[in-house]
Amino acid sequence: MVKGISTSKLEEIAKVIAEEFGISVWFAEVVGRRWSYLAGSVISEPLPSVRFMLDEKLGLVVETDDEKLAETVFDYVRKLIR
Amino acid sequence: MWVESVRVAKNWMESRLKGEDGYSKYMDGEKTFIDEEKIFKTLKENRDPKPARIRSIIDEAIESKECLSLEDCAALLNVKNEELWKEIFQAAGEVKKQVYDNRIVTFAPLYCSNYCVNNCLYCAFRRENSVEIRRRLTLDEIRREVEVLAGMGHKRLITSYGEHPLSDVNYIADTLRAIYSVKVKGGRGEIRRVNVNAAPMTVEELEILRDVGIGTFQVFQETYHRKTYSEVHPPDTIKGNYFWRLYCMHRALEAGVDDVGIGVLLGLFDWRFEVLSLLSHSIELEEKFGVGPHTISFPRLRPAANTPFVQNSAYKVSDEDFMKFIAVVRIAVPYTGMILTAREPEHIRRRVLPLGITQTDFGSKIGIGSYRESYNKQEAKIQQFLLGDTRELDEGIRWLAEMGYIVSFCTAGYRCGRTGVKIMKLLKTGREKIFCKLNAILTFKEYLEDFASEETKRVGEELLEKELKEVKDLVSERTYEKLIEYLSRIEDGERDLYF
Repeated sequence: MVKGISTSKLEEIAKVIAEEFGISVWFAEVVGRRWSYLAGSVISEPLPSVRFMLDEKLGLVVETDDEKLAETVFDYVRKLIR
Repeated sequence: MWVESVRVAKNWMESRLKGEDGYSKYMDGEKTFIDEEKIFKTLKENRDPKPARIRSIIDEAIESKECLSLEDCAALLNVKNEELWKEIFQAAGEVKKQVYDNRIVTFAPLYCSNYCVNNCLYCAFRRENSVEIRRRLTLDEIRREVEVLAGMGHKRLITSYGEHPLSDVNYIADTLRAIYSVKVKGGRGEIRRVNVNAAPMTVEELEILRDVGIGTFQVFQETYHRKTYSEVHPPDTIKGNYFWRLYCMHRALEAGVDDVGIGVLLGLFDWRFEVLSLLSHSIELEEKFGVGPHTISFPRLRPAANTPFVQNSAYKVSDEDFMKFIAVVRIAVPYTGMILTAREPEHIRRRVLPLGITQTDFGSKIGIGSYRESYNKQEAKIQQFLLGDTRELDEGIRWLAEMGYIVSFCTAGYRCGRTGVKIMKLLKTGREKIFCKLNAILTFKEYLEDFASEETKRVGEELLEKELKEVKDLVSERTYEKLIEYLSRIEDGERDLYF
């Protein structure tokens, strides 16, 4: 759990994103260079991924080569987390 | 001065030994996950396995990519028929291909300090070895070593330290920061992942290393056999505490360092016992944390300065048994990375690479300060042991490419959350190999552009062409197009692109 958000909540959000946007996302605890998997998609397609910081410790990885879509997903996730 | 430094080291050692034990909480009462009685019994009860059983074990291992049971692993270890061993060797290679494909990750060791409070009989760094010249690199010296390594094209290092107050966790953290700060060739030469081989630490100390960006935390048990362990690691030393070492990966995983590397030093005890112990350790970590070992290492004893134990060991592992050890570990823990180092000479490396090796080093120097100061020779008095293969990185890469292996400098996984249970799932489903292949192609291309000799570039480009044809059948059109775009961007000067 990072900043009061449980991993089960993050799992739920990842499922919502998969349903709404048809793409995989996962969450990671970010410590320095290391992004340690926390929750979300475990089976990835070999696609580039775009990384976002949701706060100083929680990272979001969006699996897509479409950067605009990745930004949209990032905004969506931020709203869900609030 | 000398007396004072010995006193400081002694006090430091005593303070560490007196601390909270750091292992009882993970244990089941007095029991550990290494059940010696069970291991010996399992080896005995699975003698003379029928070929049909061996073939069935192999088939299932390739299919499931889950750890073997101790019983099935013991059966493999007890095979006597050399023809059946050939089938096991082939199966080990198949397991590696299915999990990691034909890529070999390359790295270099960086020995930072050889001061040590321990007194391990087989090690040239032991405190009572008076012929060893002691030295700890300053951070400036570290940076100069890294300039050489990054200038060769290395992207991954394994740093190594003796256990001593002069190389405590704060020094180790400083060395990691220093290493990551070095950029050469306009930023094209840089270290992107630093793995650490050091003494066991507390959870709090491991959190410090996690925060500065450690890659894999590597600690070898050396031998899991308790009696042998206590014979070669004197009890008045930190390393003499078997349990403190045995549970160090539990502490690492608790600290959030989710890539851990385990290993044994072959030649201390019966290698079959060590295989079942490594398997037990892997199963324990998976059961407790959902994550098995990122890598398994298996160095064989090598000659070292003023270290007669090495010559006299009763458990030296022959080349034939070394091959059997590697093949069975490969099949027993299919998802793990397996590291073969330059301790082994070229002819052995050639023989064992096809048995499932995933990582190896080239251009290695293991003297303290050797990359900068004594580039062309080995010096026993500043080394832990003597290397068997001192070929340069460029030659090593060409050698591998000529055998059909693509060298990978990939460091993507821990920078994009492909760690922990996610990486385990990707490895077990055979999907990680696609990421491995794509990132191997990209980092290999970077090497060819920035560091390769003309000859290596020629051989490398031919290999890349073959790899691109293969990958086209493995990935979607969209991914393939992205790969081609990335390669073009690398040719245009962009770096560190990855999937």
